[in-house]
Amino acid sequence: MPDHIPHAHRPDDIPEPGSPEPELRAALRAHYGDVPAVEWDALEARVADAARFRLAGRVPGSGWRRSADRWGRVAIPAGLAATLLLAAGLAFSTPGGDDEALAVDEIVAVAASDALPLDPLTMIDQDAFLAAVLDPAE
Amino acid sequence: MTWSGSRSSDPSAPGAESRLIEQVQGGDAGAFGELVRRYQRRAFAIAWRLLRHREDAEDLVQDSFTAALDRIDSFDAARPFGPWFFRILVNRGHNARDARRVRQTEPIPDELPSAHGSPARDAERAEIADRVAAALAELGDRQQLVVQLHELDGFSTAEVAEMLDIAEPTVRWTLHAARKRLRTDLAAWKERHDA
Repeated sequence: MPDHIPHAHRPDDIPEPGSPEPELRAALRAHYGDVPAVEWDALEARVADAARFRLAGRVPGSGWRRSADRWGRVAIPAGLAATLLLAAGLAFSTPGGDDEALAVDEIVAVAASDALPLDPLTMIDQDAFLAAVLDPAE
Repeated sequence: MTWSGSRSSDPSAPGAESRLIEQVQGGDAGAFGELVRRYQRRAFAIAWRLLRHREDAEDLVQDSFTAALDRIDSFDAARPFGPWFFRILVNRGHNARDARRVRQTEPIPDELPSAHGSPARDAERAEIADRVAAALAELGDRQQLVVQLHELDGFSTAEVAEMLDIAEPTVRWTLHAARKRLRTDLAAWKERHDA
């Protein structure tokens, strides 16, 4: 029997199986047998005994911290990302932001030009201008 | 069904089980005991179907619970415990069967030929059993497990799918095909027998 559903059958086409016929069920039971009876309390005690040292090594209440850590791993990066997005949004959405930025650029440019009084070309032009004004005969 | 146990749906409202898992993660032995009580019957049924030996099945149940405890920190308590745990058990069961060459015990049929039955009737039953065995022998291990868990132990197709980590339509298909095969074989045998 194939281990997969043949292409001719869509999964939804396969009906939920009801109970098998008693004869079929009896035949299956005769072949496989039933699950044997078990002392459940004894099995539980045995499992608990085997797990005792593992449980003892755990710190009571650490489940809380584990949950907090799990949330923190998601929440902290998400919070940082949200903060950056908010800051970026505020910077680009401030009214007049472009004008202010332009004004600052102009001030900086003017300051830079004022800071260059020793520009040789400027000096030459000023001397020529003064000479022409003070001594027009030349 | 010779055993009765809680099903995954009833005792464990998702929130309650989630809290139980968190308590186990914190080392609460009482919570672990409750988890064992909830799942040991179904765990044993699967283990026995896999190994066909009572002591080996009990060993497998114990081994699977402790393995689950070792990995419990990686388990998300918001998810249902059953499917995760049963997958651990089935995987370890397959490994145990492969590694240990588990002692195969003869199943004890509940309808053994009666000592007081007629020889003809006993022979008929034996022949039916042979036909069934031949038909089932053509199924793979996983398919046989699906048939047993559903037909004999009463697990729903959804539960079997969760336990074995396979799609539910695959479970339905397996059951459908297995029954068809068994019916055909038995009907053919009956026709010849009655003729």
